Amino acid sequence: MSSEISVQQQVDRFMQGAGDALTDDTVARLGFMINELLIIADRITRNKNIMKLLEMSESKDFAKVLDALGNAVESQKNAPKSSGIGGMLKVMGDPNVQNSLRLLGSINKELNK
Amino acid sequence: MHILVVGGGMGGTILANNLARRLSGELEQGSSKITMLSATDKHMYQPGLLYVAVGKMSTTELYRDQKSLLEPSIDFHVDPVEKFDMDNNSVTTKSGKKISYDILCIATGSRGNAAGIPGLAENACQFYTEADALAMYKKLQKFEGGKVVVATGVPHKCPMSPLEITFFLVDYFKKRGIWDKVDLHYTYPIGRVHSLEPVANWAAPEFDKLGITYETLFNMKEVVPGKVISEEDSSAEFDLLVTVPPHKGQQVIEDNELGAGGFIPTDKKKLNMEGRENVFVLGDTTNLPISKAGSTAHFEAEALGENIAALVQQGEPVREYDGKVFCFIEAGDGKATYAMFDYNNPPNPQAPTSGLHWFKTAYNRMYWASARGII
Amino acid sequence: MSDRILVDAKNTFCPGPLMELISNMKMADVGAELELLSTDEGSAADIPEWVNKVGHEIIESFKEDDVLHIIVKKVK
Repeated sequence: MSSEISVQQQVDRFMQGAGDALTDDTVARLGFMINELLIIADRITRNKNIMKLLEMSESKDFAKVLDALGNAVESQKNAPKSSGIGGMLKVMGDPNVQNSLRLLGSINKELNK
Repeated sequence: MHILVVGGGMGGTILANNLARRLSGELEQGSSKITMLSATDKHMYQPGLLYVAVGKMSTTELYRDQKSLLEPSIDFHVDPVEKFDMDNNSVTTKSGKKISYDILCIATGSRGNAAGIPGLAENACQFYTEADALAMYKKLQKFEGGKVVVATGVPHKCPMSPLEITFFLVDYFKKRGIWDKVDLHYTYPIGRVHSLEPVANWAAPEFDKLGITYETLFNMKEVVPGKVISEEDSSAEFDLLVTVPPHKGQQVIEDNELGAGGFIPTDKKKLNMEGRENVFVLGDTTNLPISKAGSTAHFEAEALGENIAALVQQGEPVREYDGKVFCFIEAGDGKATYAMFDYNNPPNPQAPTSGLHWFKTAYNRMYWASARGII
Repeated sequence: MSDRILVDAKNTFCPGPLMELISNMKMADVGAELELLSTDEGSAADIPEWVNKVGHEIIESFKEDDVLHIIVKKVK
């Protein structure tokens, strides 16, 4: 067996190998997958909201928001439950809670613009 | 501008999606509107029927919801048109709604008309509807050998199907191990085994190699049990008759007297209905002397999409349909080839390969992306 | 003749001039005349062959500007 084979022979062997390995069913499944991927890609790239979300996902602030959400969920699990009017007044006095309420207020304002 | 697309098959769907993409700004502003009226909420991949008839594809793979294939900006209704009033730019639907339009696109397609030849529907297997393709498969499963005749009527949808079904039948009988008990006889309406000369020149020696006999200039006149008789005063006896039936356009086109046989006289380059500047016709619905095939509808839809969008945005069309057709040809034995041609360039098909068969097999599943106007 | 059915199959390859003629002949009434236009080299031979085999009638055949005109009458 000669070790020197031409590019054409290599291509021929590759096609032969692919032909022997593939079945109609495999090709059909691949075709189906490509079809679905194309449709998903088309939907994503032409949907302004998803594109904006993707754009936002690249900013540092977005990462911060996700981190904060994750941390908040985590800390909520461990937080002692406060109850009654006294407990509520105590929570309202917390500067972090006041900040959060201000943030929610400005989001609400933006949404109503 | 209100663009009304009548028919939700391949041509209508690709055209509506193409327009919705091009006119997205106008649709959002509300200065333009696209409406589609169809007879059904399901979209069928018609080329798949050939595969169903020989057990190579299941019927569930043939359908998707029409709505899932359309751009969300298209106003889609299952309410087929019954009356065209072109002098007043309006149509009346089955539910009785009157819909006005600025631009009308008719893509209602064609249908098999076995009833046009006495005895054909009763005595032959065909594969142009889901029920017929399934019935044909069942009949094949029970077939144990004998004389099989393939007979083709004109005009017909998909010019490659007479050859493809013949080669698929050979594959099928070989797989069942009964090929040596089958006499396969192929007939064709004109003086060679296919309308495209290079394809005929390739197929005839293939037939010889496989032991398939053939008779050309054979146009079915009548079928009686066990025998098909031609207008040329010839006949062929059969135990199993497989037919590509003659086709005609939809009843609504005939009822509205828009064209003989249900095919609308159409300008071959501008694709407008003759005598009507704001009515366009595409796919099998035209009377153009070109292949009735999905690819024809596809390329016409792309040319029309560009033109109608330009009409809306600039007031002038920008291109003409060049007659492009691309047809895969399944050659059996896991191989395929294709023919491509247009008004100026004749086809020059090459020897079938397994790579092209895979391409066709993959395309059978990628059709939906094509209908959505992506590929 | 104004009521002749014109079948313009110039520069078409598939289904081609003869198949177009056959389709249009089937739709026409007995006695109708059809004028087929073809640029296909083979038409000069294969169209008369079919027309004669089936028993229709060739009225006239001529070439003008490289376009073959064949006028056929549907006899039956």
